Amino acid sequence: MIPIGELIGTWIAVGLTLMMFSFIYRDNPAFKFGEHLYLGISVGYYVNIQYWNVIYPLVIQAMKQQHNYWVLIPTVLGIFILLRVVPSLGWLSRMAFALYIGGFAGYSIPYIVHSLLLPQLSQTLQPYSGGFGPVVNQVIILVAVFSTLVYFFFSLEHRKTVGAISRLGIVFIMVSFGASFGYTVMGRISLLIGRFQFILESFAEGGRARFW
Amino acid sequence: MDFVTLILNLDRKIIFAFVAVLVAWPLIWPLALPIETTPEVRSIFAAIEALPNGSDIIIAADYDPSSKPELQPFTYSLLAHCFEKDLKVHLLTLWPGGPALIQQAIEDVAAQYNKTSGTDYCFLGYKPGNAAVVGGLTNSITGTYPTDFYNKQTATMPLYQRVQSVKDVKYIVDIAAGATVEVWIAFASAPEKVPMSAACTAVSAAGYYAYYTAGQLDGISGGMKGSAEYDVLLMNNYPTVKVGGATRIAGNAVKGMDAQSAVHLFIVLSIILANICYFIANKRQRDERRGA
Repeated sequence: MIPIGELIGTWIAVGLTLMMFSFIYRDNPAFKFGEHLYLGISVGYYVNIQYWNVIYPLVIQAMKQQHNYWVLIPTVLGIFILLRVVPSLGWLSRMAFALYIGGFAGYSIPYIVHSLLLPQLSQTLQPYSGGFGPVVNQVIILVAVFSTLVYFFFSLEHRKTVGAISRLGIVFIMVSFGASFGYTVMGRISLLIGRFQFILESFAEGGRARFW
Repeated sequence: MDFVTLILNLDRKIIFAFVAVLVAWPLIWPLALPIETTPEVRSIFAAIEALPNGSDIIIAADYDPSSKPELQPFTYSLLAHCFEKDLKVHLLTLWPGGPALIQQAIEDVAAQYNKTSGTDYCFLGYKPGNAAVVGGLTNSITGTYPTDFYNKQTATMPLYQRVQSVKDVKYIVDIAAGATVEVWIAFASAPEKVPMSAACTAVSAAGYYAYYTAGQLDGISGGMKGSAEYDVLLMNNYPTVKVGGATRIAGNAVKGMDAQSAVHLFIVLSIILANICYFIANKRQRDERRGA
């Protein structure tokens, strides 16, 4: 026997999925209802998650149980950020943002340079070795990086040699966009498959949306 | 109206209807099309396979329900693989929408393998701050997560009597719907020299190949296809892994791949057909202008 809560929940989920799909035909009240319900529930859910995972353990519990009142400093700075919605007090948010951006930049820049930028740069400038295939790959990578950088170099007019190299850069950019777009199509179809799987499995033998 | 004009003025609802049929049909009557595994996914599987039994692994499941069809099957298969090898799993998420999905996955798979929270695995839950959290884990896991998802003290768990930080972990896998892979590489994997792999949504897969070719990622699994490949590798190497049934440990992504292939074929054929019609229509217009 399927628990009544699970049964009702599945029916609601199936109904809302069909409401959202109805937009394919045209904008309609059922879609609007589903859309607004989704937005409202999402906001409520995220506020709840943030409260119980951040504000309660890191601020309220820290003060009540550990008597750690230093947490008031970041809490006040966080409130300053929210004050952007009050025009007369909006200037206070700049202090919090300045601290946040400055602190985070100082923390992350060494990591980013050491762990992302330099390894990628060294990979682009590998010695030519490993046989015909790897050497061809290495040349393609080098030419692609160089020509794409030239395309984004705007201090020289893109004519003659510079223009030809930047046009080659566009070709590589387009290939990259094509690969990304192909993957994007796959991703979107996967989402559709996921919903169809949910609907079909809910009504299949032993599914959670069956009364019989 | 001739065929070319018909195709060029086709109502998009007809295309949607074709896509709907092509998705539903293979899900109801599977085609059992073969799924070839790629070196990128085989590398992830091989890396997990090479870990000594009882090693510790961090699985960051950084996604939410909008990526569930692509990444949730990978989470199930990876957890099953880890428990088959008796690896100790440290599970966490940097996405606020993730905990419910991860809770479902870990509770399903752990129940299947009789694994205990705190001893065999720990679901640390969600914490905001991406880089700050990952950086914190390199100093102290229990310091960054004093309590787990179920509000139990982590410091007293048997799992954390020998594991202090990321340095004590043998492997990291980030199952990511966004840009968290770069965070894990920059703030944990590269500085602490802990190897890692990534399973990401199809949309972001192309962008992560640079890290794979540079050797910063052992492997990449892109979208539902990558998850299906991992399913296949797991089922081929561990036939006892439960397929189908109430808990569905592995095989969910495989089920969707027939539909994926059918729709992709339809899209490719549609693009070719529409382009041919477009060029024919253009030629006709040019001929008409010349005639006039």
